[in-house]
Amino acid sequence: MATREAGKKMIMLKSPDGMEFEVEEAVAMESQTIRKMIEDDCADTAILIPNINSKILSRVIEYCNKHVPTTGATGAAASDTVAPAALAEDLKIWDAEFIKVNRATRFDLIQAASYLNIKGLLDLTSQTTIDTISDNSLEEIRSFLSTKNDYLPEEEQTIRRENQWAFQ
Amino acid sequence: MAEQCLVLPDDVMEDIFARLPAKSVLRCRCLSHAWATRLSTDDFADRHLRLANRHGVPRILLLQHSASHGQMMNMWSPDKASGATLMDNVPRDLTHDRFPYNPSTFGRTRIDQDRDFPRLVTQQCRGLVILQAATAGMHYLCNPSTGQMTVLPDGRSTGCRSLMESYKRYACLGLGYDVRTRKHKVVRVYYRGCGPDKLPLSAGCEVYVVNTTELWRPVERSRQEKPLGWVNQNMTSVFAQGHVHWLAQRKVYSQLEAKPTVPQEMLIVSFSLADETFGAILPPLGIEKEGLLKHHLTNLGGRLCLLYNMWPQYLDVYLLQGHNTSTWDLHCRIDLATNSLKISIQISPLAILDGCRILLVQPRLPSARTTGFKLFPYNPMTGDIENPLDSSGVVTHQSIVLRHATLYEESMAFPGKQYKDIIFAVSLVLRRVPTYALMRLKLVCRSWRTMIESRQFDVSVSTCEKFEDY
Repeated sequence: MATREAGKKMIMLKSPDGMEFEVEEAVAMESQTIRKMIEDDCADTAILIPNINSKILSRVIEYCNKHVPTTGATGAAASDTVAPAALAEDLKIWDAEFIKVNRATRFDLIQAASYLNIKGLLDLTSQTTIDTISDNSLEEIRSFLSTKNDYLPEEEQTIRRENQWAFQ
Repeated sequence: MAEQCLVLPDDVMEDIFARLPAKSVLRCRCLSHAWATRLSTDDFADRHLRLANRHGVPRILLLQHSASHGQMMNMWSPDKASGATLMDNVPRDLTHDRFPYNPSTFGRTRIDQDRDFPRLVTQQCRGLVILQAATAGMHYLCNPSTGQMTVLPDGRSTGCRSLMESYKRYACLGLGYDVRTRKHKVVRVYYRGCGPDKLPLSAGCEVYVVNTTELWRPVERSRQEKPLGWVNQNMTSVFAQGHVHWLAQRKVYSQLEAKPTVPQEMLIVSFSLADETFGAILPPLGIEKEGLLKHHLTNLGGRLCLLYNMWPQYLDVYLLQGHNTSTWDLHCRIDLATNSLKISIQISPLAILDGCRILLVQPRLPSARTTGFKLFPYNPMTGDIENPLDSSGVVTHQSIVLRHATLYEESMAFPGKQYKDIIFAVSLVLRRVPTYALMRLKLVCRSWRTMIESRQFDVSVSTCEKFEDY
């Protein structure tokens, strides 16, 4: 149900466990997936977001609310790259606080960000994972991905030699 | 047990891998067969190029030489928080023992030393650059983000007989990317002889497709295979808008003649990666076309950029709009006269910062004998050149930053197997073939002939023979 409230268009988002969230259209459009739905006019009633439970969805909306370009600034200039330094700094602190969650929640957030295609949120949530992969040994990454090493010892030697630069 | 189940789906994981530095991705190819396959596709390479290079501030690749460390390749990144940090993703001593550096070949004057340093002959193109070690006559194809480097095979010989002739007998390289075949291509233009009309007597072009087993091949005969002018050999080639570009002169200017007898009209030679044909782009109307001293070519925000340098008054930054029509936009005119900062004549644009400002790079000042380079952000809105970014971190004591800098990009592009490994494999087979038969094999095709005649082939065959003896 799209309603009007104080001049702003509202969008209803529904999680599979039956909760409904009313958000501003601009906030919902932070998600490229939802933006596409709205632009293709498939969003006249409530949008059902499959696979994302209400707990995660509410956090995602919280993020989008914070990161939606401030309407106070003039049109094109209203993105966080050009925002005043203080505001950007503020947002950084908020982000750092936002991401202080346990691993399960973080993985849920990553999947939600990936499904809803929210670039900033995916960058933020995947950073810890990126650090894990950059810093740990192959064996640790394998257990992180629960992947088995299916190389024969000599095969692994060859592939290591081919990519020797990466191991220095 | 709960921790065990916490695994992200593979496609989400792949998206995360695409944000990693290229070196980490290389390492992760050793995880398992499945991941090796997933992380080696062209689609992944494209995604990685897009996602791993979003830093807000561009990173810069520098070649430098220091008395204590020799050749170094450094990546420099102006950190948003703390001014400047030197990042060590690039192996510092990458070039240290790999470039045949022989000080005895030349006298030890300053200029000769400069000739011994490897230099960038092309600008960065999707993560690859070409370096030239002039003394050894070698070209190296290099991906600085992964540290992989291979020697380019020799092209057709153009070796100059005398110094007198060197200006009209040379070869130039360009590097580009063909979006249709998803391959990097190296283009080599060579010249031999100069006619009475000051136009090249003979010029040709070869193409080398990176990461294939092919060698240099000539471009197809039926097409326009000759460049329309003399390509400048001292400037880097630039890839933009599907073409490789060089600054060139329509007629040759000999330094030996006291006064040039013909006007040397400047033009830009372009080579289309898709059609493998040459073209020419005329400079914008109204700019002086004599000589090349005032012109500089680069890639700015994905478009070909021509810098018209009227130092010390102003710099004009032109961007190419349409490739077929030679139409240019005057992007901005940078006023130097009213500026309080000390700007040298060698300044050139390097990248666009946060969608608006232009990052200008100024190499070392030859007169001031300073070691460092400087980076000035220029704001077209206000017309101000801002204070230089702090670049002190990158230049260590007693080091010289070499003249060219280019952008640094994380990239999965593979520069190809070592050419000498390929030759070694072939020579293992061919070493028993008698010499007269080898000579016949030269006629198989051009690339075989090049290979058999190459020095590396000789070396390989004799190495094989040594193995036999034992």
